[in-house]
Parts: sequence; structure tokens; C-alpha cells
Amino acid sequence: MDRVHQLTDTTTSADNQDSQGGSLPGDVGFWTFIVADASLFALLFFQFSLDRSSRPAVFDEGRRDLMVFFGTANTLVLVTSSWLMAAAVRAMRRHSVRTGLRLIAGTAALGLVFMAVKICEYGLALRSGHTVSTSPFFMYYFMITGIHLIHLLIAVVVVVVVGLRLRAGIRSPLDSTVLECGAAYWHLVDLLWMFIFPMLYLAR
Amino acid sequence: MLQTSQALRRAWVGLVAITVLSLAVAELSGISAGVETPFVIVAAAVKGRIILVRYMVERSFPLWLRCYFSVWLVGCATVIIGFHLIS
Repeated sequence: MDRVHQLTDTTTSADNQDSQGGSLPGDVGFWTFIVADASLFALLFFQFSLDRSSRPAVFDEGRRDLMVFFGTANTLVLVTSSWLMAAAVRAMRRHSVRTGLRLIAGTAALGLVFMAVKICEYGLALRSGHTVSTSPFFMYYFMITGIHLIHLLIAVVVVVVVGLRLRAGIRSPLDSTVLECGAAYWHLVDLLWMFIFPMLYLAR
Repeated sequence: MLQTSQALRRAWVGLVAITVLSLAVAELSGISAGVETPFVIVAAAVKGRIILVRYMVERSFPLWLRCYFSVWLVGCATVIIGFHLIS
């Protein structure tokens, strides 16, 4: 019961801070990590674009070997999972624990769908003879999407752990913070994919 | 500040619509690469903005973080488009 009260106090406090503006959902240290992570991907985008500008024909040939269907499907899966994640945080803040848990489960399930699609795509690429050493394009393709996939895997683990703890009735301020951090991380993974998809699959 | 469920749903509809539009322009329209690439990358930046504003509730961020993400979005889009156009 005390734990439930703790969550109530935390969320009320967070809402108050939000209404005044200038507060962060989740932990401040975590947002520093988010900024560092986003900066790392910005550097990867820069390096990819720089290398592509010197060998556009090689990169375009690699791009044509990708199946846009997989990238599109994963984009739709990821934006839907982000929607569910945002709705889950909203539900938890409004103390609709059961709804929140269902939405968290849906988010994690879509994360797994994304990973399954990506693994299928990797399998087809490898079967077609494309590896990290085939061409500069495929080196970047496997590196950027691989790092992104690891990010998503971490996000799924965080979301599942928080969901299981909430399901077990453990509702501490720490869980509330971890849920908000997990949601922010999930949205970052989505945000990064918004650039990865057109950069690798669409841009000619 | 909590987003309403309607605002979250509208954001999702917008993200899906822009994704489909980007795909249509890139794969079906037959326009030149010089127009197509800027279009799909700007569309990506718009989607990023929607995610920041609606899902990450950027409004509740401190000023430095809002500035960082604005620079990040514009910077990534500019770099990708710029290098594509000069190649």
C-alpha cells in the first residue's frame, strides 16, 4: 500500500512540475545519455553521407538490393509501438494500471515484431551474398541498423522488466522513473529510425 | 503535461500518413533524385518533430534540451540532403 502511495506522490509531483514547464520526464542523468546517444547517431549519419558523396554509384547499387517493404513495415511497427508506449505512460500516470500494462505488453510485442522483421531481412541479405565486407553501403547498413537493433533490444528488456514489476504489484518511485526513462528511450529509438529508413532505403 | 489520447492517435495517423507519402514519392512518383531525396529527408525531420512534440512531450523539456533536439533534427536533415545533392 505504501508503495502505491509512493507512486501516486511521484506522478502528482511530476505532473505539477510539468505544468510549470522546464522539467524532465524521468532521470536527468538518463537524458544526458540520450543526448550522447543521439549525437553518436548524428555522427554515423554524417559519416555515411560523406562516404556516399564520394561513391554515389556504389551506395545506390547497394540501396537497390534492399527490400523497401521490410523498411516500411518496420517503420509502421515502430511508430505504432511509440504510440502505445506514450499511451502506456499516460495510463500509468492516471493510475490505470491494467490499461497501462496491456499497452506496455503491446509495445514490447511490437518491438519483438520489429526485431523479427529485421532478422528476416538480415537473413535474406546474407543469403544474397551481402556482408559487412561486400561493399561500403552494406558495411554502413549492417553497422547502423545493427546498433539500432541493439538499442531496441535494450528498450524491450527495460519495458518488459518494468511491466513485470508493475504486474507483480511493485510500484515504487524508482519504477515510475524507469518507466518514463524507458519510454523516452523507446521514442529515441523511433526517432533515430525516422532518419535511418529514408537514408538507407529511399534516398537516391 | 499529459497528451490526450486523441492527440496521441492524431500523431500516429500523421506519422503513418507521412511514411506512406514518402514511400509513394520515392518508389512510385518517378521524380528526379534531386527532388526525391530532400522530400523524404524533410518528411523524416517532420516525423521526428511529431515524435518529439507529441510522444516525448518536448514542451516539458528545459530550454537546452529543446535547443539540442531542434539542432539535431535540422542538422541531420541538412547533412544528409547536402551530401546527397553534391554527390
